[in-house]
Amino acid sequence: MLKKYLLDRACVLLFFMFTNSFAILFLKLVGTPLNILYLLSLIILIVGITFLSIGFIRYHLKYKKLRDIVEGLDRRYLITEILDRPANSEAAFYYDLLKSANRDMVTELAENRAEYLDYREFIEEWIHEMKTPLTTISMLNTDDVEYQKKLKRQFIKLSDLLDMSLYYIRSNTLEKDYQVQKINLAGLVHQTILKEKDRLLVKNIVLNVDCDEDTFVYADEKWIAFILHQIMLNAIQYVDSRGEISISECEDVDTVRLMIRDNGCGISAADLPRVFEKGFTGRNKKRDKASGIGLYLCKKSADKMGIGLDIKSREGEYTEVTICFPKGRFHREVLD
Amino acid sequence: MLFKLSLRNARRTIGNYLIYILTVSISIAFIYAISGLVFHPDIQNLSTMSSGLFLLLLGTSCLVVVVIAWLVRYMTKCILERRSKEFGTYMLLGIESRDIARLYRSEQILLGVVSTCLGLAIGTILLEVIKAIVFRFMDLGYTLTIHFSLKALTTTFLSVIAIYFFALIDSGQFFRRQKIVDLMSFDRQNQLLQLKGRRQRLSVFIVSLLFIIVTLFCIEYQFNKYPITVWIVAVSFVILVISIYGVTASLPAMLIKAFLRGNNRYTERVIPVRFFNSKINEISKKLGTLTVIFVVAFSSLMAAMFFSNYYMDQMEELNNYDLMLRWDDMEYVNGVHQIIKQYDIEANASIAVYEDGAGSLNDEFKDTNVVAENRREDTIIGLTDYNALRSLAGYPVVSLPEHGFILQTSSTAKDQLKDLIKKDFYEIFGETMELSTIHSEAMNTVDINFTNYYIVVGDDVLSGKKPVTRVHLWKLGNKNSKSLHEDLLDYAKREGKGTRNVQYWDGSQGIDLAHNFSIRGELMEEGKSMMVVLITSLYYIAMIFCAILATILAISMVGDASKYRYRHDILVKIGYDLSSINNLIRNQILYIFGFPLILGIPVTTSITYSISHIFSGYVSKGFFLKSAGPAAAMFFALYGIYFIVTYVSYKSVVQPKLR
Amino acid sequence: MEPILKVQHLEKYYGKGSVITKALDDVSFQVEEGEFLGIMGASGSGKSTLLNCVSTIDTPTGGKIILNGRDVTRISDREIAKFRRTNLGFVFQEFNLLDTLTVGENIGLSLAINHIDKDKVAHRVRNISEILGIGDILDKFPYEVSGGQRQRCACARALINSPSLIMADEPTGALDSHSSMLLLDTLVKMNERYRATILLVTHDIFSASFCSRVLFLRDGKIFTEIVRGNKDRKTFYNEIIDIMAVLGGETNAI
Repeated sequence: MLKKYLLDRACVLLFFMFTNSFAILFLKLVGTPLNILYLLSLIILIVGITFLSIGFIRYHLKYKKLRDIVEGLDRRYLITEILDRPANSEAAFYYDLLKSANRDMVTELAENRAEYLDYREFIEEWIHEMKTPLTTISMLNTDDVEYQKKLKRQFIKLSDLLDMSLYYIRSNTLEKDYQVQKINLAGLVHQTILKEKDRLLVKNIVLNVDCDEDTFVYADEKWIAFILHQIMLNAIQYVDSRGEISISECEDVDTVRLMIRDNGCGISAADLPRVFEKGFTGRNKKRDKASGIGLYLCKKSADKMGIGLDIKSREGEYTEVTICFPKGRFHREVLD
Repeated sequence: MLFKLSLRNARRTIGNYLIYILTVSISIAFIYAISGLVFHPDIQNLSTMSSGLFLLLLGTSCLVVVVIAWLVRYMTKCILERRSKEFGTYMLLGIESRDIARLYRSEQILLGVVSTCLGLAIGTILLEVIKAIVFRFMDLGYTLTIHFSLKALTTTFLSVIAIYFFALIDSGQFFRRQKIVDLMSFDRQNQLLQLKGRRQRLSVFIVSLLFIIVTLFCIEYQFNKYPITVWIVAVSFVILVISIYGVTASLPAMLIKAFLRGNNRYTERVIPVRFFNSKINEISKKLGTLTVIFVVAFSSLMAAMFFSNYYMDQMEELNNYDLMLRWDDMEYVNGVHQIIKQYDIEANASIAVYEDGAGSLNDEFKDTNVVAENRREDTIIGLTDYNALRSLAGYPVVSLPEHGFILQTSSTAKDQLKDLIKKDFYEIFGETMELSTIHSEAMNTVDINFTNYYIVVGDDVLSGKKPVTRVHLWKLGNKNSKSLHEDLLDYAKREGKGTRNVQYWDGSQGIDLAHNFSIRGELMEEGKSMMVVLITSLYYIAMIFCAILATILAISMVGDASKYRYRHDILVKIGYDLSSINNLIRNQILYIFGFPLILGIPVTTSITYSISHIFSGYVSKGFFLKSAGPAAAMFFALYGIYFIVTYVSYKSVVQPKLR
Repeated sequence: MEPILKVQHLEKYYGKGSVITKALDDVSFQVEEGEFLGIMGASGSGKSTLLNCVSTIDTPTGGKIILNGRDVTRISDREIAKFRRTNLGFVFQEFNLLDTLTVGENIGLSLAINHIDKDKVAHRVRNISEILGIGDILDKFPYEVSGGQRQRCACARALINSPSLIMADEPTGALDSHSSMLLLDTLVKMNERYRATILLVTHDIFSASFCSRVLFLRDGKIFTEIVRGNKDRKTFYNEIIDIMAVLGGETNAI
């Protein structure tokens, strides 16, 4: 630090030393007594050192303050809004430069955000618009029962996909339409099962539900329903015919856990850590059709809501997804 | 808790009042350096007479202490007013006024301690600098030895205690008298000062101005005539000071009125003039004091210059002999000569001095300070003696035409004499003689006959006349004046001739050489210590007064910077650009710094011009201007530093908030 | 016709230490020539920040402010003062007059610093002060006249250089109801008779009801805006009250 400070002023210091030694040499040559020269050098030295050390202290304090501010700052491009305009003209020039550059960037950022919001609004609108003709199509009756069934299945798939894109779009601004409600877990589980009863029936899956009717959690119902639905879909997908899905619930001191377990093909240990990644489909043949969005979305929204989402699995044996709701003090007080 | 608070406040205050702290520190440094000089062993070892003179410097320090006490008093009051809101808040919190007063006092004392430490540090260096300069003039060997004198330290501490005692003696009163609501709105009260009684103001202005002019003329007249009537001068000065207060109280209103006549108020000029107006209203009571301080500071500086110029001129006159004896008894003179022989005589001369009671030349000079008041005779010496004197001094010999005479005078009186001599022919010893030339080489004119001139005529004119006295001069190789003095004193005592009783400054009695011995080295030393003490104390006063004047102006301006920042904000809002703001700030400070000079410069010029008459006859022409130039340069250099510091700190307060 | 003022995506952050707060969040609006626009919001809603940014006193963190076709955020420091004194007029709540200058000098100040001939300035000062009814107090100092007269003096100063945009920041804040009424009438007169474009920032519903359009700010964002149209002041006043109730701001109606 001191070295840097001195190096910055090397030119002036050298000049100062040169002129002073020249002056003293000159005075010596014209016959000034040595004692006077000692006094002169002493004064020059004291004054010089005083100035330098005051300068260094100020430099050091300024440097430290700047560094502290920058380190405590989330968005460092806002640094110019915190700092006063420096008095030093060179520093002020850079400050102005930085400020105008940041202004342009913030302006551009705001414009981009506006554009993006506009675009998103359009897509959302568009998805909603899509649903109407889809429903109409699914209502079309044909005599062919088999065809009707196929059509229905594809419709449900399409509808789920549309829902997922809607949730995907919203997940970025989840904090905005997040509404905490009191949710009955058992009720939610039953709703989800009801939604997927067709598929469960087709695959002849054994379902064990062990949920306490009185368990309540505090979260956004829409989003929890979405997460639960996605997990159920996955479980149904990967479980074999006549396989088993068990949904159980357990309560700790500070958490309520909901576990969805299937005895399907499971996930290999290598893939397990990556299942929440966006677009990850794994090497499992069965997952070929998967988009890799579902679990990613679940994890992302759960994180944003402060809800835990865990997955355990052994290949060929089972997969177990745990949703972990924190109770918090508020939660406990309400329950007591 | 309170101590911690005061510590923190003191630390913050240092930042705000750096100029003040520095000025007090430098003043304390001066006090320390001066007392360090006075109590320095080398100075104490000087001959008793000289070292006694140095005590005068301590007397000057007393004056300085009084002025610094006034500054500190002013400043503490100033700080008190600025921070009244803070103290009001303390009161609101339920802290008792006694405790607040104590808090405030301890804070100020803390500042005092800081200033003292800083002052001692600077003073140690300053002492060496002053020592180097003074020792050089005193022909003492200077060695760089930083040593601490207990006496100097004690003097300094006593001074500091005195300063802070006077400054803080009644600070508790302030808090006891004020109500909380007054404290909270203290800073607004000043704004509402109004201009009242314009007509009354005009009459005060005219009367005071008349008084100033009259007193200045009176002083000028008194110094021009001889002798000076002391009480008239003293009364004049008192009236002058009162009139200065009168003028400074009424002048600003006149100036502002003149500046803003007619539609001039609708020009850019209105801003600095109006700002000046409000500022002046705020400090109107102090303006007189500030002007007086300026007059004192600048006059002291001028006087210091006068004395040093005078001293240099005089030194030149005393250039060419080492011992002079005025004695008629040749036997005694021979005895002296024997003693002097040990001092390696380079040359000697003996001069017969004649006097002409008619004094035709003296008639031309009487009632001027060229000649002494009661002296009516012309002094005359012969050409041979004169040439001996010239060769002793190292000048070429001269010759004289028939019936011609030479007028020998000092270089400093030459011009005055030239003006006074109106004729070409004068009666000398009854003969009409023509003025051949006027010589002004350094020929000890004053020493030969206590007057500024003597006449040189041909030896034939003097033949048969009886000389009034004889003057013997020696030039020596060995210049040890101290032992010469002792030897001569021993001889004089032995012979029982030419001694006098003296009383020293410390009350002791002694016997010394008679007045008709003059030993150059000793003369010079005596004159020198006198001059050094005089000049040093004058510079000392000038520096401190100038610094105090500038500090008060600077502090009151810088304090305003934060108080009236909104004014600049408004100006910026309505579209005043930054360079104009800078100009405005500069003008504001310039006006305030310039104000004490408006009246101060003419008054000081007049007073110092009058004082310079004392020196006329002993000094060369252009003496006044020669002194005024460097004095003004020194003053404005110091004043300028304060001006720049004020400008920079004012700007640094106002500007960051502006775009 | 081009609007006189266009504000686009204006953002402003304030910082102290390493804490940063957002004062303005993506504010965009326009002001047409001759409009009397009110900006309302509770204290801390960012309305003064908005005014400071528009009046070039403060620099925004991001966004554009286009006044008379020029982006004021891009004007150099050297030109900004000139721009300000030729294009903008100000009426502020407190300390808007220099206390050491007389009323007349205050009014003429913005012309004087533009180096306009002093006789012309004197003439215009007299003219404008007659119109605003303060012709007889020109030689008094601000502290010698009433609050209402002081504010009208401020209006006169804002109007004297015929600026493109007059900005008023809580001008009735320090006035009693009668003086407020007079001042607002003056502003309306300025708006109607001289087609002056006025931007009035206030948290006072009464003042806002004099405007032709009112923008509401909340948490640095534009919440909504309402236009007076042909409604009378009373109806408009009630509408503003309704919105303020939703906004949750103070409803300190006089």
